[in-house]
Amino acid sequence: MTLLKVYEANSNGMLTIEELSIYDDPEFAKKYDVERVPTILFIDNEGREVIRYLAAPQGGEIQPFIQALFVFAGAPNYYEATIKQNLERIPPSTIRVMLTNACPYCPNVATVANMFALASNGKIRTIIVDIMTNPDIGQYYDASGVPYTIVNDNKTLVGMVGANEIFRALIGGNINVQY
Amino acid sequence: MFNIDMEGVDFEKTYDLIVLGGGPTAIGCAIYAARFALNVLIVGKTFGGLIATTHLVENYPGIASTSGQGLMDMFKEHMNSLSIPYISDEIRSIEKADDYFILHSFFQKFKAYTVCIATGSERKKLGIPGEEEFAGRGVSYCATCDGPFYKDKVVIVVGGSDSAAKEALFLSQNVKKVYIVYRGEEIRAEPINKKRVYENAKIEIIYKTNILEIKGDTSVKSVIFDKGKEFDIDGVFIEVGSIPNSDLAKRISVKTDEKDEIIINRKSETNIPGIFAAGDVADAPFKQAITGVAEGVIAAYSAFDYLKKINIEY
Repeated sequence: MTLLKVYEANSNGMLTIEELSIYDDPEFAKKYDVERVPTILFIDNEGREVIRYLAAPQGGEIQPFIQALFVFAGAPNYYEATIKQNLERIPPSTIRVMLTNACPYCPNVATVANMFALASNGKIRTIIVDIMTNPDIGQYYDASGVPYTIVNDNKTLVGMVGANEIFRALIGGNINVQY
Repeated sequence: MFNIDMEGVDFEKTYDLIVLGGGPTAIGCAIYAARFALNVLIVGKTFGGLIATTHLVENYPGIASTSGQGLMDMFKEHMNSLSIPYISDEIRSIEKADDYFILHSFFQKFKAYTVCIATGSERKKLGIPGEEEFAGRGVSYCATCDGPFYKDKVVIVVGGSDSAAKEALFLSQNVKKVYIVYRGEEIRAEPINKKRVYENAKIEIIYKTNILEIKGDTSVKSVIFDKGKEFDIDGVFIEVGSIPNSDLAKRISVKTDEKDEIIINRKSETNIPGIFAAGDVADAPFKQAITGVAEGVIAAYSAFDYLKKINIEY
């Protein structure tokens, strides 16, 4: 929370941080299935969860988090046009990105996954998990290396992967793109 | 500045130079290009390149000691000071059109008068049973990324290079024991790192040995040596060299050598006018961050020179 307050203090009033307690607001926690704290949620205007952070956005993870905030607030998203063109081919999806703060390649994967979710009009949800602080989740997915990306619980991408590899895993085929 | 920074990116514009890659070579090239007042864009799969996984860099002049990530943070800061845009994507084809090139990525199309291929290299795999199956579950190619998972455990580093020695030294900070398994008779690390390895009580070298198979259940449990012995282990870190990322170059008929490295001259020129190459993907015999940066810088100057010759106003 201290970290997020720093973000708020440096945002020139553009960012408001609200702290919710799962004890004081159990309905909200239940609605969004918040079982562990801290959890950071990006929720769109229609109440849909877009991005879930089970990781502190610090160290190398500051950049993807801030970029997600910017795009969430309307900044351009590089992948948006292609995601929209292929939207019908994307099933409702969850991208889980397992990472640690020490991993040099993780910010890139987290950024891409976040951008995909933000461009998908609610079809893709991204969950960013620090498996050093959530080792049970890492163990559940047998992940002892990062970045470790799981698409819809059935496709695993190990190590440094590019945006196209994540996207192919989502749509199960080649990318259609019209410039 | 973000990993995918749309600010300053114009898909309609014909860039003076598009640099492909995300490591020190690409960024060094782009920094010089920006200082030559060229419109430059970097398109790379991942920012940082292989050096970002190195835990210790002690041979970059002017910086006595830092991590690979630390070095790349400095590069990034320098790049940001010149407002050089970076896009996280891969170019899959390049075609010539009049006096410029059209670059097709997975997500967009770009135009540029010149291109510098600085796509680097990627870790070579052992190609043995179990390697792929246990990737991310005990098999790793990045000690910096995955070392923390092996606290008080026993691991193997495969390879005898300076990089392998440095991986072992890094891992020794956390693990119980590191075995370097090397097929040769003497590790080839820089003398300073060789000495550190020899003096490190946690590191033991197993010479003249290959690994034939990696075994386990949900994670790695053992390896089989070529002498038939099964060796219990918690993790295998593979550091057996790298292969150049030159597939794109080959597809567009850029000449490569028998090692698939792009053939360049002293101006970082390839056989195709307007296409330059530099760094690990090119055919220099000694590959270091500093040599890659130097080749990238030369490529930037050659691109600048090329633009003058074809009368492009920059």
